[in-house]
Amino acid sequence: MDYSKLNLADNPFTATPISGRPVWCGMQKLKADLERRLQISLRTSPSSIILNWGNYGSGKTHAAKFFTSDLTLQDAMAAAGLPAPPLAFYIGFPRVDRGAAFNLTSSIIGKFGVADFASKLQQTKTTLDAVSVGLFANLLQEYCDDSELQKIFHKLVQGDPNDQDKIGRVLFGNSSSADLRELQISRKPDSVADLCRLVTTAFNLFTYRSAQILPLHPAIHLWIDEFEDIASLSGKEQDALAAYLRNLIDWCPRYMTMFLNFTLTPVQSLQDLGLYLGDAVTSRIRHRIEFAEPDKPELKAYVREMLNAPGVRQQPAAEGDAFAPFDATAVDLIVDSVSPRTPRRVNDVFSSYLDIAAETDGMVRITESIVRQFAADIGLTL
Amino acid sequence: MQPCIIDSCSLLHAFHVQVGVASLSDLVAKHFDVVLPRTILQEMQTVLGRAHRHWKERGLVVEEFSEIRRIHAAWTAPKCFDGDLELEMRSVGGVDLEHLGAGEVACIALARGISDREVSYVVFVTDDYDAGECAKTIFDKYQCGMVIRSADLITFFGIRFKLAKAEVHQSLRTLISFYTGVYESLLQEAKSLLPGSEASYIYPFIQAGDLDRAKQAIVRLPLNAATRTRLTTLVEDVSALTGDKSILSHSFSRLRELERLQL
Repeated sequence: MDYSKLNLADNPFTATPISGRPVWCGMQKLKADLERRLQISLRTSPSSIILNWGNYGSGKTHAAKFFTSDLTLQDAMAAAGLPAPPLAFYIGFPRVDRGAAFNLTSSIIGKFGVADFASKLQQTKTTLDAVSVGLFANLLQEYCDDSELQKIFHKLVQGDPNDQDKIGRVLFGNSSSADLRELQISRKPDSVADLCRLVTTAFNLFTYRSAQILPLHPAIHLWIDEFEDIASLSGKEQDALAAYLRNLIDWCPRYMTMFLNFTLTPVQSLQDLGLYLGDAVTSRIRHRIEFAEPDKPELKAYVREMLNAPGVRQQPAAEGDAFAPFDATAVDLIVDSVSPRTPRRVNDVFSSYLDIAAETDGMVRITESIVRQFAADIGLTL
Repeated sequence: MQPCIIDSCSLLHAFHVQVGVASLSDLVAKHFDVVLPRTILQEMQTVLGRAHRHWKERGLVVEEFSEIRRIHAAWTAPKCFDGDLELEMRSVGGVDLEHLGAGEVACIALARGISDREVSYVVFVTDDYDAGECAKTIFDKYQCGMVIRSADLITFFGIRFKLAKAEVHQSLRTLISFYTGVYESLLQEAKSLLPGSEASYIYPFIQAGDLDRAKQAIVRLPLNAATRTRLTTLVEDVSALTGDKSILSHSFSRLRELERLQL
C-alpha cells in the first residue's frame, strides 16, 4: 500500500519496524524499569529471575526482542562502561515434541550455532590460558564434573572442522553410535541435568572474570517468551522444566538474568505461576515488572513517537502537527475510546485508519469525523 | 463396591492422568463398580478423534490413536450398559436436561436406574458444570447419588493412598493441562475464523476473557451465518471452560487448597 500522500514511507503501526531495528516508543516508565534491571544485572553478580507480566498485547514480546537486539545491547554496554556487550537470547516457550528442557537447551545452543559456540569457547580458552596455563581445563573441571560432558567441551575448543557436525549432532541430541565412537565420547548428554550442565558450563566460562581476565560477556540475559504455556505441558514435563530452571540458576549462580514473559489469561493468574514453578524457582524471582495499560498521555506519546520514528516520514512533520496525518482531536477521540488500551490494540486501530486513508481517494487527513465514520468497522465504541 | 458412572470427557482424560503409580482410570476401576452407558463410549470415540492430534503435539500422550482405542475398548467393554434407558429417562423428568449432551443425560438416567435397582448411592464423575448441576438436582430429589469432579477424585485417591503432596499436585496439573489444551484449541479456532485472524479487534476480548463484549462484537461483523454461529459457540465454550465454576477453576482451587494443606 502507498502511504506517500500521507507523508509516510510505510505504515509504522505494523508488527515489523520500518528501520529493521526494534524501536521503543512511549511507555518510558516501563522502559526505564527494564533498563534499570538490565543495568543492575551488569553491575551486580547474583543470578536472578525477573517476571514480566501483563495482558495479551501489552508489549512483552516486543520488549524481549528490543532488549536482545544487538544495537540495544551495545547501548547497554556503553552505558555501563563495559568492554563487551551482554550475551542475550530471546527464546519462545519450548514446545514438547522432545521434552521442554531438551528443546530449551537446543534453542539456546541453536541461537549460537555450533560454529559460533565453539568459537566463543576457543576465545575463552585463549584468554584464560594466556593468564594461567591450564586454567580453562581447571575451570571446566569445576563447572562440569562429568568427564563425558567435559570431553564435548574439549572437542569444541580443539576446533577440528571434521568434528563440528558430529559435535553438533551430540549437542542437539541426534548423534549416532558412530558419532560418539569417532568423538570418543561414551554417552550422549540426554538427562535434564546433562543438558542444563552443558548450558551452565558455557555460561560460566563466558562470564568468568578475575583481576587479570575480562569476561567474554559481562552477563547473560535469557528471555523466555510465552511462559504461560507451561500450563499446557503435562505435570511431569512441568516439573522437568521447573527443575531445569532451578538448576540453571543454581549452577550458574552469577551473572545470569532470566526474564520470563507471562501473559495473564482468564484461566491463569500470576499467583498460579508459583504452582507450576514450585518454591525453589519462585523464591528466585527477584523482581516483577507489570506491563500495565498505559494512561492517556503515555498512549499519545506512544502514537506521536511511532509516527515520527526514524524512517517513518518522507518529510519531517510540520511544527505543531506531530500526529499528522491524524488531527490531534482524532487522536484524542481514539485514545479515549480504544479498549483494551494495549500497544497491540492501539497499533491495530491506528494501522486500520492509515490503511483506510491510503486507499481512499483524496483522503490526506484523518479527522475526528473520519474516526467516527469508520469506528464501528474497526471495533471502536465511541 | 459403589457404582460409578463417568462422563465421556472425564473418562477420556482419566486414562492419561497418573495418580502415583497408577492411572486414574485404573484406580477408578479398582475402587468402584463402573458402569457406562453405550452413548458415552460412542462420544469418547468422537472426542478422541478430534483431540488426539492436539494431545500428541503438546506431549500429553505418547500412545498412537489406535493404541488408545485398544486400551479404551479393553477397559470399557466389560463396563458397558446396553440396556434400555427409556424408563429411567422418564423417571428424571421434571428437570430441564435439554441443554445437556446425550451422553450426560444417559449417565444421569442410568445413575437413577442403578440406584433404584440396587438400592445404592451412585457416584457420577463429570467435569461439565451444567451436567453436574442437573445431576445434583435429580440426585438430591431422589437421594440416589453424588456428583464429583475429576479433581476431587484425584485428591481422594491421593489422600487414600497417602501419596506425597508433589504427586497429587502433578496429577492435578496434568488434568489441568488437558483442559488448558482444549482452551487453546478453542482460541486457535476462533482466531482462524475471525476476519484478520489475530489482528481482529475481537481476539483480544476473547483472550482477556471479556466474552460478553466479544459476543456483541461478533454480531456486528459481516460474516456468513455458519461462521457467526460457530464463533458464537466457540466463545460460549470458552466461557464455560474459563468461568468461575468451570473445570479449570475448580481444579485450580483444588491445587491451591493442596498447597495450603499439611498432608
